[in-house]
Amino acid sequence: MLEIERLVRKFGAVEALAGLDFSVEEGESMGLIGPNGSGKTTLFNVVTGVYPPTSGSLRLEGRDIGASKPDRIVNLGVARTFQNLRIFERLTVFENVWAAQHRRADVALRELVLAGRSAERARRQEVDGLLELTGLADRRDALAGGLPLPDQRRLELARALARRPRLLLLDEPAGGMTPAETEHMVRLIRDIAIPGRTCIVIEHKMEMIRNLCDRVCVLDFGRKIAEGPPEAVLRDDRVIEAYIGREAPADA
Amino acid sequence: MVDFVQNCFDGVMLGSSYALLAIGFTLIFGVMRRLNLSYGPSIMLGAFVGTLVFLEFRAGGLAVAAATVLGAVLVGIYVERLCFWAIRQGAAVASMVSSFAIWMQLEEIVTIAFPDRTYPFPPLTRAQPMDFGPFFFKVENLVMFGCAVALTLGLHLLLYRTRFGLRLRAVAESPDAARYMGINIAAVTFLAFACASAIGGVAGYLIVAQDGQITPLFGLWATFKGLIAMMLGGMGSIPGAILGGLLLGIVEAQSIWYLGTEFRDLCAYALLFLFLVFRPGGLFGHALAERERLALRRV
Amino acid sequence: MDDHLVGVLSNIGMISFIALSAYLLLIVGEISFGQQAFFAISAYASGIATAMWGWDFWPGLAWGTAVAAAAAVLVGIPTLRIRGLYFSIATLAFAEMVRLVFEVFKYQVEIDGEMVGPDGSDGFRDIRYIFENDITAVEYMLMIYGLLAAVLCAFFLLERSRLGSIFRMIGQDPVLAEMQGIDVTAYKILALGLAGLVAGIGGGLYAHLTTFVEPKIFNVMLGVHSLAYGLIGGLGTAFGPLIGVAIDIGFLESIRAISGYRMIAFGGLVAVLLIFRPRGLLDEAAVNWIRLRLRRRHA
Repeated sequence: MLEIERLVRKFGAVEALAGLDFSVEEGESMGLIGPNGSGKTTLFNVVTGVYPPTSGSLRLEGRDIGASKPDRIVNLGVARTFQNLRIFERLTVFENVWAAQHRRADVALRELVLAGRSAERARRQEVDGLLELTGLADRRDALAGGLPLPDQRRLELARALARRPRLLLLDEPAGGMTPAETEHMVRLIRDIAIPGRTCIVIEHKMEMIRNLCDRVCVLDFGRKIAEGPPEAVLRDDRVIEAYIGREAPADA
Repeated sequence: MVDFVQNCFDGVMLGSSYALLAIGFTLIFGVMRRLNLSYGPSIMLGAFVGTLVFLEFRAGGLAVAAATVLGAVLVGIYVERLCFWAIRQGAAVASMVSSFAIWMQLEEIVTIAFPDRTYPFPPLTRAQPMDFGPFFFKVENLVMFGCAVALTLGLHLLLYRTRFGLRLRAVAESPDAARYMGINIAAVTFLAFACASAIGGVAGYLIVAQDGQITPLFGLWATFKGLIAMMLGGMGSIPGAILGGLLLGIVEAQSIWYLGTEFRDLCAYALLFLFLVFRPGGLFGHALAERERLALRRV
Repeated sequence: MDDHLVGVLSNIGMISFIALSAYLLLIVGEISFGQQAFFAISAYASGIATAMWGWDFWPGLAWGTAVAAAAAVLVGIPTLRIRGLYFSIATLAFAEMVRLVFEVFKYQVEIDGEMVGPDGSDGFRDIRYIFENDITAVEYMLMIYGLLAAVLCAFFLLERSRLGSIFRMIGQDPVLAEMQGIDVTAYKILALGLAGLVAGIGGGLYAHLTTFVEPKIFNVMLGVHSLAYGLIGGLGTAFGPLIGVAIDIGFLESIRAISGYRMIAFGGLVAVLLIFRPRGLLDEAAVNWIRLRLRRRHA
């Protein structure tokens, strides 16, 4: 699905990604962990084209996406959420998800402008279905900026799913949530996000990684230091050292 | 060839007034990353204060200059409070629009208070133009050029040799980091704004004294010429302001000579447009523009 | 209806087009100081079509509008790569270039022994179609408002459509919009073209109402006003810019006690609103609140 070789991304003199090799198989759900500043979010940004890679190769389903613009890459079937929440604050909850259904074929003006056709009706129903599933249905017409944080995280998830991605990138989907809210989020991801697609999850809460992921990859200083099934990797000395050296994982 | 060279000299002379205007402009932009479009009108208001002092009290050149600078600084403070301090940080575009709105206000105030539109202003010198072989220069222009260079040097010393300059540069570099270092950003930007207004007052005095008269149109002229010169040099770059001013002056002088007066402004705006599209960072500010582009993309 | 009232209402109608044009760009997050350029281009193009080529009014208006929209797309392609302040200044430079080109643009033909056509800075006289065809001022006013109603309907359809949401997404967070698979630059060019079209309708109507078009009317102040209307009235709905126009022309200009100080009041109003309601009176939150209220009452 996604193959990355010797990927380097520099910011000035800092190498946020220092020759990373990384790959995800079709249908897999992969956990991405590592201390703060180890390059996890940068990897997401490079994969989605926000930052072009300094060097190295980046292939999505065999296609080279190293020099593509974000909208190109995203239209190949990639969707993501953001660690520091990014929603369209001045659109309603419904509009946030609805507008995200945009695909390249939609550029036909007919479908853009005319609301109420049958295809359009089906897609509005799909949006309402997603809002129902994520528990946002009763906030449907509120402006998204006024939602509390857990709802905003769920909105990001619904918006990403509305794009029907084949590769979904979740960046700390439970960041800043209470244990109960986290548990709800885990259930959501397990039930509606993971089935039928490839997922990469960045998370500090190791319990979540154990629950959700088939495989874990650990980054430190922009390199991969360990990889494998969650139980094995989380016992690995290098991983523990990388974490304990600067900070302890949240609940491992 | 003689024509071309004389045009270049004329352009440099013309350009030194643009450079003078651009210095204050770029100081504000460099520190705040915002554009003060009512910079010209506040200088214009200052010059009208100078004119008032001249007409009412028959004051000499120095008093008129002081009144002009004082007026420009006071109006500058009004603009700073309303359009910059009161608008939250980061809303650069809102500040720009707001300063344009205040521009309308300032212009109307002047047209109401000074209904005759054109007022006399005491000239700087009555010296004759000087000849050097086939070329000639006006004394006022030489004074202006000298002032532009002196102001640049002074500003350079202020920025790189004083504590206040260090604070200014820290705020310009990263307001957040500056705040954690205990720098009072509001105070620093306020002082920078006042400095820029004072520089604008000096520039305004020299330019208006050379013309020997002042009209409300001076505000628009000063903002646009200063803005173009600053943009050409690179927003936020002080040596850029000088070079941008000179470049603008030379291009204008050549276009007046070869195309006619009516093409002067057209060429100036075309030059600005081309720079914006192909080199938005100007001659000197390229790295800066690049950094801002990246900051916009920060996720 | 008395002539003065018809005149004021016709003015409000025409200015509404350019205000809506600037509003559309505000929605996609770009500030343009230059929408008057497209207003001017259409005024000239449609005037040339009816007064010089003998076209009927409607084809002439359509032609002028099309030229304005095409010009907007052509300008958009190079300028939309630059963002924020730089884009705003580029629009300003472009609009001034257009005005200055019209200052030197001469294209005249002899009709019935008289020279008709644009004559540089003397302007373009005798665009007499509505007089020659006995259209009364009231009828013409109704035509203006008919077209305005059509454009407003288009805006409301847009707001309800996916395209409208995409525009708002781009305006709020272009990087996030890209993450939804949207080609931000392409949509911005589309928005600029549509905005040019809307301004173009207004320009064509203007030329035929006044019968006389002068380049200096299309100065930056017209652009800033049209921008300010949206910012006053609000960016949540297309009614916003219309409210802005009504406040300025209908209220400030028409009431004698204020009209002498109109710019002072208007500039101050804009500056204060930018501090307290940065997205205008009817911003998105207000519009959503009203919408929910209305729906609840119906339910």
